[in-house]
Amino acid sequence: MLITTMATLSLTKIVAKINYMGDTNMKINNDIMKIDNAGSDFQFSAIEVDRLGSSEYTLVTLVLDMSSSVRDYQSELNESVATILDSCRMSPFAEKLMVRLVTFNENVYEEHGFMPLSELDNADYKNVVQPRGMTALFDASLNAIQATVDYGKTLYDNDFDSNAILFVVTDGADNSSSKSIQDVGDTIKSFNRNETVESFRSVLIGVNTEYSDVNTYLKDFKDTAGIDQYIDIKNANSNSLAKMADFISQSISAQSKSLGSGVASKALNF
Amino acid sequence: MNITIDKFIQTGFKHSICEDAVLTGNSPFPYLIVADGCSSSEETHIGSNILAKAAEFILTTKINHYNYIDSDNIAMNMAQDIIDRAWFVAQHIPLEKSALDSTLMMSWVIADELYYIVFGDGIVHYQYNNQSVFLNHEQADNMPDYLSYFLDRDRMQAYHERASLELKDITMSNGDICTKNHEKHFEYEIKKMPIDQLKYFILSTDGLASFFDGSKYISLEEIGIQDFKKLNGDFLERRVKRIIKINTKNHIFHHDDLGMAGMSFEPIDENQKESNNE
Repeated sequence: MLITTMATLSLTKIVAKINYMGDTNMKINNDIMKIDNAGSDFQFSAIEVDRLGSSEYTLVTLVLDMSSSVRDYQSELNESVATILDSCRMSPFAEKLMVRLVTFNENVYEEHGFMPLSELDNADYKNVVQPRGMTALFDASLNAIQATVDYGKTLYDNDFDSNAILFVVTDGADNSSSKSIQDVGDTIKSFNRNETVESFRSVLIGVNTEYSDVNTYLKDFKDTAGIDQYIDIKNANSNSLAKMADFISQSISAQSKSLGSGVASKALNF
Repeated sequence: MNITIDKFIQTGFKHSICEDAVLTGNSPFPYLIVADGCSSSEETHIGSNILAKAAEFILTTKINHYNYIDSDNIAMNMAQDIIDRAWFVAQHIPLEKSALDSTLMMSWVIADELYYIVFGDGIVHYQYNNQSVFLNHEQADNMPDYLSYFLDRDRMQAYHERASLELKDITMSNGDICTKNHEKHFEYEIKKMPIDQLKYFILSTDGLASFFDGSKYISLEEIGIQDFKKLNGDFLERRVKRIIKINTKNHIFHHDDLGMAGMSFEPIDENQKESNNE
């Protein structure tokens, strides 16, 4: 009963957040479609397929922890999003990138759905991370993966080709999800078998891990769930998060270059 | 009417270099140009591009003038102007005249009419009034009547002596096949149709008919080019890439180069008209 209630709350929060973003700064309504994930308890949004010009896209999802523990480096984390987007804009494949941004504490928030890079404005990310609450790491990861699967299928059904890359940035262990590591792992396994998205890379980034046991925990999460790569950032500061932003944008660039090859890009060194 | 233009080109699996050329544009009006260089002639990968560029120039600068010049013979006037211009460029490179051995297909939209013309062979496909139509202009002996023969009387003479008199226009529509034979070479004709009932219009080199499964060529209607999911943006590239992907998985490959260009048509709705007027 408790799980159902929490899941319902999550759904309400996502919808509420979408509407809020729509009021302030996003073109919405006719251009954005909200997609219910059949058999699950969340929905996500994405740009209408009719608005898309290219024939292929790399679907990028950034999942950012905004539990209370990230308060010490909140502004650096917010800046890193703009840095990532600016670097992606310089890529020769910029027109073929779509980005979805998810934040989470004990709830999962879709800050915006899959949108072409050209539609995104750095000003929207100045205060996107607002630390408070606990850590629903598994729910957020699952939300990101499942949305990618679903939107990838929508694109595929409309003759678009796509590949995908996911980054989950967290500083803590899960203490609040309704889903388990197993659920995340099963979804990744199932994703890797489907043919609608050409390839999928997943990267887990642990930040500020030096003075806690979270490094071991996150490595275990990575191995058990079948996440491709784990990056450990011992101390979260402006330099290390700038380096993280650079790593993320380089990885995105590599994955977008591999679109059409049939295989995912190789993992980059951090 | 909103018109979206798209194109696609890919070297055939049997070719080391692409001899097709594709040009599209929307100034001063929407147009498509597709050319297919002859594999048996040297340097036609260059020649087909020169021919296409020459056609683009003549089309966009002169077509409106043809109405004032011998309207019964616009097609031949156009043909002569295009090959003369192409040769003017090619000879300075220099290239042999045979480098311009290339088919040429052109289509353009002026006001509410779409026009098209085929020099040589090629495939026209469109959906009109919800009917899907394939027109396969082909030469029975695979010797198209290239514009380049106009450059050399001896070559023209040899062509008349060797080429079959049988030209075919094969029309396929909803499973029905209709074959029309011509008896004369170099019989060019500008055809037209109103765009109000057109959903899309595609020009393609004969590479579209070259998907081979090991024992037979896949028919145009079976290839699936007509199964567009959406007609916005890179609509043609998306459809053709998906066709190639699916067929490759089934070990079916297009042996010849694929050069295609297309337009899709979307009526402007009343709300959009009003906001445009504002």
